[in-house]
Amino acid sequence: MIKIFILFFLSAALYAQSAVELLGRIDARLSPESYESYRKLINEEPGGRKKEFIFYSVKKGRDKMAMLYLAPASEKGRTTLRSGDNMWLYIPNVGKPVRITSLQSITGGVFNNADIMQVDYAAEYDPAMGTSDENEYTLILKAKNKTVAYDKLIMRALKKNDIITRIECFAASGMLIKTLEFKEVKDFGSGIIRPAVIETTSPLYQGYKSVMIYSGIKLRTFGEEVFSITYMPKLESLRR
Amino acid sequence: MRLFFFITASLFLLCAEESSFDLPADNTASPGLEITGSLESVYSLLHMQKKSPLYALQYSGTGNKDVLSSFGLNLYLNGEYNGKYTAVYLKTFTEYFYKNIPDFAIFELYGSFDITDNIFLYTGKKMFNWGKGYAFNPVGYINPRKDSDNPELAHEGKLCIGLQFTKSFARALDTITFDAVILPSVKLAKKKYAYLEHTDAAARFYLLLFDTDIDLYGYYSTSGPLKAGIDFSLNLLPSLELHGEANYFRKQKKIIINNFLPEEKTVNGFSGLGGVRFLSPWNMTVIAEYYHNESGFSEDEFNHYSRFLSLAARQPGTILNQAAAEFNNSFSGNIMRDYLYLKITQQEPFKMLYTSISGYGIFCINNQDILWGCQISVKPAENFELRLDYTSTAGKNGEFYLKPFRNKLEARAVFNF
Repeated sequence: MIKIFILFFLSAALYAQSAVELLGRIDARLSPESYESYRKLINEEPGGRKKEFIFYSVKKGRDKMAMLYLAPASEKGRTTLRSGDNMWLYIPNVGKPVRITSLQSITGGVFNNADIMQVDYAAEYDPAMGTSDENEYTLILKAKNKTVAYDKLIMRALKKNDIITRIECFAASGMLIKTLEFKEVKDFGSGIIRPAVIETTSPLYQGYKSVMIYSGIKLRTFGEEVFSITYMPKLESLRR
Repeated sequence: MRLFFFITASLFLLCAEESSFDLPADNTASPGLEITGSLESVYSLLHMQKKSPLYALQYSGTGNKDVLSSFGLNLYLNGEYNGKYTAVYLKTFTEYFYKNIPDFAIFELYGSFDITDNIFLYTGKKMFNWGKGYAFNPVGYINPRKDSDNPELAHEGKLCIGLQFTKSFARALDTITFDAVILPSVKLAKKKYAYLEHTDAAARFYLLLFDTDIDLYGYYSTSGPLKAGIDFSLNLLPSLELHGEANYFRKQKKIIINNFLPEEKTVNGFSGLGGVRFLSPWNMTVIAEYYHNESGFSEDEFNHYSRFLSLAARQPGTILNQAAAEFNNSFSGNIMRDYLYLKITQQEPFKMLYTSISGYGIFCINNQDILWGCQISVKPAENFELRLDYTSTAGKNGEFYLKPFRNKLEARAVFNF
């Protein structure tokens, strides 16, 4: 009987271990340890009207990201910063960073702040193995704490290269909040091969769609100070 | 056949998803100069409060009409030069009314130099915004004057020399920043030369500790007030932020009215603020703050002030009239001791994208009068915004009752570039 229990716990531990390992590989594929990139975000309305934003963003470690608005002109110079569970928004006219939350959307549309400033999934979620088929495996991610934007994620990735294909995001009530589709796998150089396009739709925003397109992803190292609120007004200098 | 192929190819291109975009043109390794800004065209209607002494003091030449209108242009023109180690920032504001000479102001003009990766020197005219409060900032020692009815409005900065040091750590103490600023004393305002002791110093020490923003502040002046303060901001819940400020001051200048004459004295005391910012699941933001200032007017002091203005308003062209106008202009911010502030903003109401509505109110606890307003903002196209603001006052004998208008309606079109 004891042997059966030991066997059960060992297999459960190995099961969890493999989910953690897989999520680590997915994160590594999706975002290198330290890099810079440009992104275009397009919010599409049911009538076909679009609103576009362009961001320059930098990331370091598992959970630090800073982002500068380059377009449109009305938002230019705004910066956002994420360090773990903390998020701030800096507006040049206001002149100081204010705290924002992961659930807010500073751009409007379907993407919220957590989607736009996504850090490593392993930093926010505990993974468990889900089902798998011939080509893809599924991970079920549970939020580590209540500050995380979604309570549960169901994540699908390709078996052959651990490239993510789809995420379904759920609230604590079990309601599906949104679906993220990862498309157009592209080689950005320096071994960075990842989806260049993320599309999101939500049953809460019928007919709306938001698309994020990645460009110019480059490995780059940054000082820790870049990810502090005092650096937010100076983020533009990193592009020089 | 060729036509069929052409149509098919065109349809394919039209339907194809966008999967890449050109990097911004200014993404170069060389220094760059950027010009940005906005042009506001503003049409205002003011329902005047003719019983107010401030109406008589400020609008005596406007013809005794109940409703006044105003049409103006506001140009915010900003420039930014970013080099590898140096940067220069410029923010200007020009206000133009029909047939008048435009009023031009430099809000900011300063240069910064990166001594190392985490030590920056800056000098020039810079706008500071110290403190965590939205409508009030007791620790905003070197902030420009804040309009409680529009706290996000840009204002003129201060001439200064500053040094900032930042250090980050990957632990509970995440970041520290030390900011030291030297600036001319308030007594030096508008003068080219002054005594050496007319130089003030301010400092801020920031910590991100256990996911809480904490700032410690100090202000030293041989000719003005001495101040020390603290503020904090943290997320209690993902959708609930809590913030506060506390300020202790010594030798703070206070002007009261004694026997119908302004009298300057210095006071010691405390001012503070507590507030929350809440985001509802339907994307409504609520900001609520309580502000207390021991250097504000007591009810008795306010009554003397009010009677002084009324007497001066009845004597146009006299020295007393001029003194009252100047005295009133010397006030910055709110003049009483206790206020409550509430602002509610709903983004995209009824699923109307790029639209927001908001309402706010400032309630003076001491004399129960209120200033309130609402706003609707629509962004129908990229870099273009239409905004309608309504402001009103209510009360009988308080600070807001003294305002020269009872209702104000402002329509503005904003073009960003």
